[in-house]
Amino acid sequence: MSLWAVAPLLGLFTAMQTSLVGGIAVGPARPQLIVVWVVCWAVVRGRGEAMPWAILGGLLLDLVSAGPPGAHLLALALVTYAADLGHRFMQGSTILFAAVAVLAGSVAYGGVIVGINALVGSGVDPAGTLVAQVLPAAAYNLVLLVPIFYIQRRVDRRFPANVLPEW
Amino acid sequence: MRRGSQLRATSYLLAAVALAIVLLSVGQSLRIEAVRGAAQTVFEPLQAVFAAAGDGLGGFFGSIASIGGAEDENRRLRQQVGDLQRRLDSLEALRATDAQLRASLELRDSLNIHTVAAEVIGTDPDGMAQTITIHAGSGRGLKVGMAVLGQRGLVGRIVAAQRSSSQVRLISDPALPVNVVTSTDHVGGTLKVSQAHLLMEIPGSPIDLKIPTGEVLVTSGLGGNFPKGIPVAEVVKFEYKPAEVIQSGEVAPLDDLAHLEYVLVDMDFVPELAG
Repeated sequence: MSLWAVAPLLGLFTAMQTSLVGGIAVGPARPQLIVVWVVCWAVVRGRGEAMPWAILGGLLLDLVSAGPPGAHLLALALVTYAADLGHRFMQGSTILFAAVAVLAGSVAYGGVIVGINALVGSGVDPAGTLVAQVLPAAAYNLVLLVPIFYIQRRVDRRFPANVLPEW
Repeated sequence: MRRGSQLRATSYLLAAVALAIVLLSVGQSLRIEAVRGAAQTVFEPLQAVFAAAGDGLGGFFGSIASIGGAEDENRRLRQQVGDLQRRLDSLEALRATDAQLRASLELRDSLNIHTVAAEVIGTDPDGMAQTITIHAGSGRGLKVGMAVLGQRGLVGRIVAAQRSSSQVRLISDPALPVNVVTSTDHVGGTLKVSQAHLLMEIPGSPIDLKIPTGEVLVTSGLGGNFPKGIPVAEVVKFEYKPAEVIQSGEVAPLDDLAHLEYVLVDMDFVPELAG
């Protein structure tokens, strides 16, 4: 699926992440729309298609964030690249595989953001933030996974990719 | 299932890592804040729409929970209860907003300052940076460095202002220390964030200093970053430790910084140090 077709959607998700998500947060747990969307697409279509989305999504998040510039780009790119590593051992895309990828990816994403903030001396408490924000956000992302994965599977079947698998 | 190429993905990753390293290293010197300001101008209309939708969604979830408890009623009565509950939640949300605005206006009147009211339309995407976006900017006279108030006291300071939106760094951000004094004895200190806790640090305090729980802290005006006399926080716990050179006590902001909906910007204060 063309990045240009998805770019407005990522822009919409970015706006929602900064405004709508606060209204549906459960305590410190805030879902991460772009992380779930991009990681799921890496599971469904592979990292080759998902990486451009990760780069654009990461840049958009960096633009609306007050944190260190480049942090979201780096975190999302690393997580997306690693998201379909499981395909070395398992073929196909199942909701279970996606759930593991989203959960692990969310924790890793939060960990990278926290780590970068700690490195630049922004005053974020690494351990406290990991426990209080990153882990609850990862759990909330699993809830988002269900509708997003369903939608992406439908899109994948409706608009199949033309590139042959590596394996 | 078909997949993209490994080589292409790796190339993208290397490009992303390189770009991220460049941004992290020299982002500030590349005037990233100007780019962020331009991006904020683009996103601001969407944020305003979604902020309103977000408030509505919170009420909708509450309605669902309360509807689930009505098990013994028939379908028609349950539907009526649901409709009435949604209307009630909507009215409750309006009443809460009205109460917030009235409290903010009372604070403004008590401080005798001119203010501009603004709705909070955005927060940091991860919630890690303690900043909010408000729906008012340079077009309404807001400037970098102006103090921002909630319902009960100071909540932060404007750090960036676009035409119709501004970014506010909250007092819960470690990058925004606030010089304060106790409202009764005028003991001076600084509010700082340490390991996610808001503390008041008092260097060179009197011996056997006692600060009761509930003591309100107000801005001292020292440093010129904030106007003097604005309530900021209250003391939660203070214990004098003779061996410590700098005494510290745990404090709590007067406003719920995680659930700000409307704020007031103090238009009378001209900051000495902006940003």
